[in-house]
Amino acid sequence: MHPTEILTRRLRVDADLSEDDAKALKSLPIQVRDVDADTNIVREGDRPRVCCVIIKGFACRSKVASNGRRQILSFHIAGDIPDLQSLFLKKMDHDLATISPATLGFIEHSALDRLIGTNPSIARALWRETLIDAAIFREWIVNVGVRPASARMAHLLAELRERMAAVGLANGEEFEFPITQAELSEALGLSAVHVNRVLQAFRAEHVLDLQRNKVRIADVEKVIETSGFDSSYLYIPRNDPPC
Amino acid sequence: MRFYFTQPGGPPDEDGVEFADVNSALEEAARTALLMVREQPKLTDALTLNVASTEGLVGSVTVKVAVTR
Repeated sequence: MHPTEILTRRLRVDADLSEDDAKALKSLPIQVRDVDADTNIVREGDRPRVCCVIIKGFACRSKVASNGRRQILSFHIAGDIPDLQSLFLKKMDHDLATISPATLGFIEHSALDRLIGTNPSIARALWRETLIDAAIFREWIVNVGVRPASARMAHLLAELRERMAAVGLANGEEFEFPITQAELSEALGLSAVHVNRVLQAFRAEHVLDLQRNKVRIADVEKVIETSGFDSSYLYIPRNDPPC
Repeated sequence: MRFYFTQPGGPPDEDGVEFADVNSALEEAARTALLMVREQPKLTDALTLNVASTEGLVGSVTVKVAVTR
């Protein structure tokens, strides 16, 4: 698979890209690198000259507060460009790191600049990505701000299932998610013990399970009911018949 | 060391959580119990978390909110 194919697939989930656009994406000079889990891609304060496409694996954005505690802000999957904002906002205001072994593609800002200058459809698709990114952040705030622990967990996993499925990375109700309980606690604003209790309760009730780097959702309806998950903020088009 | 956290009558803990020592595990259990009690349908119900190592129970924490008039 060409390194930009997953990006094209991701953008085509919700944007109408022509074959010429796909060719333009394919022609982007991209430097591919395999990295271990917990590798910093960019750190707060950095001034990157490249954007990173996740080709394979998982990453997260995070910030460390003055008390030393880390808040994970978002999770990123194959096809995402989690530091796209560095194209215009030159100084990073948060950290970006892998949470699993990953294959990353690095594209020079100058090449992306040229691409969006000559391909307005791609510019619109990338703009749309940043808007959806913001919608996901809004939902994240609601999640950690007002939902109880079990709903936070269920919501996060329901969202990941939708996003993974959109790029063909979910196998029915099962998908890869190599995350530790400590990282989940940093994402959900819970203690590691609380995350442990929530997961054990879900497992006992046969709702969902997270073991050996895989999430298996056994009872989708219960997950949706528990979390109040409504995927509309992800703006993933459905093939529903017109009303 | 790995510690396992359970509530009386609740599901077993098959995964556990790593802590440096018993005190750290109990302290985290106490912090968690405080958070969990806030999410109970009835705030004044007592909530207990038992903490065990691979060798057996090492302690427990109980949080109870009392409302007086």
